[in-house]
Amino acid sequence: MSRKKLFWFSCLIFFAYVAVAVFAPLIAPYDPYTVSGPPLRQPDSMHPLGTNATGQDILSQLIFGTRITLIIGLGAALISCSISVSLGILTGYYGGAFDGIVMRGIDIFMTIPLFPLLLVLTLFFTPGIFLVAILMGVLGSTHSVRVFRSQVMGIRNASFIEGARAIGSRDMRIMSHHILPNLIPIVTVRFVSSVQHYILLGVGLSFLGLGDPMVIDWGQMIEQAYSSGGFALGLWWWLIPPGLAVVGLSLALAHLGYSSEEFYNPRLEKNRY
Amino acid sequence: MQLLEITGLQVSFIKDREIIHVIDSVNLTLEAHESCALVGESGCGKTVLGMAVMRLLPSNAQIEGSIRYRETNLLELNSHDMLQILGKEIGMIPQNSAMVLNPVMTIGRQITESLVLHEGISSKTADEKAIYLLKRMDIPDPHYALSQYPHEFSGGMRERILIAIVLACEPTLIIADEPTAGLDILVRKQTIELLMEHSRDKTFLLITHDLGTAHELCSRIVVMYAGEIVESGNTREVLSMPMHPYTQGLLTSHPSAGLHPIPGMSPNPGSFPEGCRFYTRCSSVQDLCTKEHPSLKETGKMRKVRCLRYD
Repeated sequence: MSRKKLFWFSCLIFFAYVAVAVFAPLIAPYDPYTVSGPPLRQPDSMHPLGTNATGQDILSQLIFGTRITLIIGLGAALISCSISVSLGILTGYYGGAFDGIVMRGIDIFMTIPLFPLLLVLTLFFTPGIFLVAILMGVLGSTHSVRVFRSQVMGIRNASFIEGARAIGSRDMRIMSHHILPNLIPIVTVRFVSSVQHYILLGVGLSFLGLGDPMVIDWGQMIEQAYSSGGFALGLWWWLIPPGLAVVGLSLALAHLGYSSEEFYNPRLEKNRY
Repeated sequence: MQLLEITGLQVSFIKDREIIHVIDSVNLTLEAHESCALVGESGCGKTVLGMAVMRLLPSNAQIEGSIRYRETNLLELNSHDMLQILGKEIGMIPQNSAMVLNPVMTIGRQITESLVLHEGISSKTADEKAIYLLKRMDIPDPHYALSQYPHEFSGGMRERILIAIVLACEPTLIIADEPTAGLDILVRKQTIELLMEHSRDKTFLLITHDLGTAHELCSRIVVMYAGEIVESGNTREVLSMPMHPYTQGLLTSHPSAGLHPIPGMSPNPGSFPEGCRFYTRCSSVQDLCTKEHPSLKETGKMRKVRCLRYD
C-alpha cells in the first residue's frame, strides 16, 4: 500500500474509533455498567460477544471502553506535549544557566524508567483516569523536551528572529508567534506517536489493576477476564476483542505518525518499508 | 538637528575568556533627514555597529560609549523602553533578506506585526495599511499577497516586502544592512529607486560594501576598516578624491575601475596590527606606519581621514 493511502486508511481507522467513543451510548446495545443477562454467557444474537462474570454485556463494555482509552491517551499526550513544548522553547531560546539546570534535571529524571515509576506513583493517589493521564503526561514529557529544544536552538539564530526583534517584539511574543509555528510539524508528529505510546501505557496500567475501578477500559476488561477465569476457561470472546481493539488503534496511530512525519520530511518517503 | 549621535563607541565580544575588540572608539553623527553610508569589507564591524544601535547584539557583547537618539542614550534605556523604540522610531532592514521573513507566517501578518505592536490598531485597519504599503512597493495583487507565504515570492519581491515591513510604522531612522545583497543588477536598481523614493523624509544609515549603492543613496560616506573609521566626508568628494589608501584601494578594486583588488586580507578582530591597522596591505606604507596609530583628523569641511600621510 502506498504511503499516502496508508495515511488516509489509518486516519479512517482512528476516526472510526473516535466516532465509536463519541457515539458510544447510541451504538452500545446495553448499559455496560449494569447486569444485562446471565453471567458468562456465550455469544448469541442477544449478546454478540457474550457477557462477563457479572453478566454485563461485553460488546457494550468494549464500545464504552474506547472512550476511556482514548481520553487517557489523548489527555496524557496533550499534557506531555504542552509541557515538553514549553520547556523546549524556553530552554532552547534562553539557553545559558537556565537551560543547563533544566536539562540536567531532565537527564536525572530520564534515568528513572517510566513504567515502574508510574506504578509506584499511581499507588499513592486515588485512582482516576485524569490522574493517570496527568501522571503519564508529566512523567513522559521529559522524553520530548530535548527534541524540541534542539529545534528551537536552530530557529533561535535564524535571521527572521533577529528581524522580529528589530521591530520591537518581546521575548514572549517571539516564542509564541515566531518560534512555535515553526515547531508545529514536529509537534504534530510527536503528538501522534505519544498518543499511541500513552494508550499502550494506560492499557498496561489498567491491566495491572491500577486504573480507575469506576470506569471501564480495555486493559481492565482483559484484567477482569484474567482474574475471573476467562483465560482458564478459554472464553476467547472476552479476551480477544479488547486486545484486538488496542492493537488496531495503536497500529493506526503508529502509521499515522510515520506518514505525517513523511509529509513534513519527504526525504523519508523512499527509505521506509 | 542631530538625530543620532554615537560617541566613543567600543564594542567587544567575550569569547572563551578572551576579549575581542570589534569596534574601536567610533564617533558618528547623523543629522535629521540625512543619508549616510557606512562602507567597508566584511568583518570591519559595520553590521555590529548597526546592531549596537538597535541593541540587538548577543549577551556576550560589551558596549561602551554612548549612542544618543534624540535626547536619550539608547545604551542606558531598559529593555522595555527600548522595545518601544525598535521598529517605531528606528527601523532596520536586516541582512540576508531571503532568511529574514518567517517561512511559516503569511506576509500579511508579518507586515502588520509592528503596527499591531506599536500602534495597537485593529487587524482590519492594519491589513488596509499593509495593502497600501505593498502597493507602494509595486507588489502585484497586494490583496492576495497578504495571504501568501515568503517562499511564493522572488528575492527582489521579498526585499521589497522587507522594506514595506520597516516602513509600516514610519520610523524616523532607518538602518539598512546590505539591502541589495544577492540581487541581480536590474532588481537592485529597482530596489534602490524604491528605497530612495520612500526614505526621502527619513534619516537613513546604509550599511554596505557596495560603493555604487552608497553613491546612489547617500550624501555622506563613512569608510570603516578593522573596527574604526578611516575616512568620512561628502560622498562625491570621497569617491572622486579618496584620501585614505584603503578608500583608494576600494575604488580601484571596483570592476569599473579595472578590478584591482587590495592585496591581502582584512585582519581578524582581536589581531589588529599595531600602528596603523592598514599598513600590512597599504601600497604607500612608511616606517612610522608600523609604530604609530594614526588618529582621525579633520582635513576639510566635514572631511576626516585617519592616515599619517596627512599629519
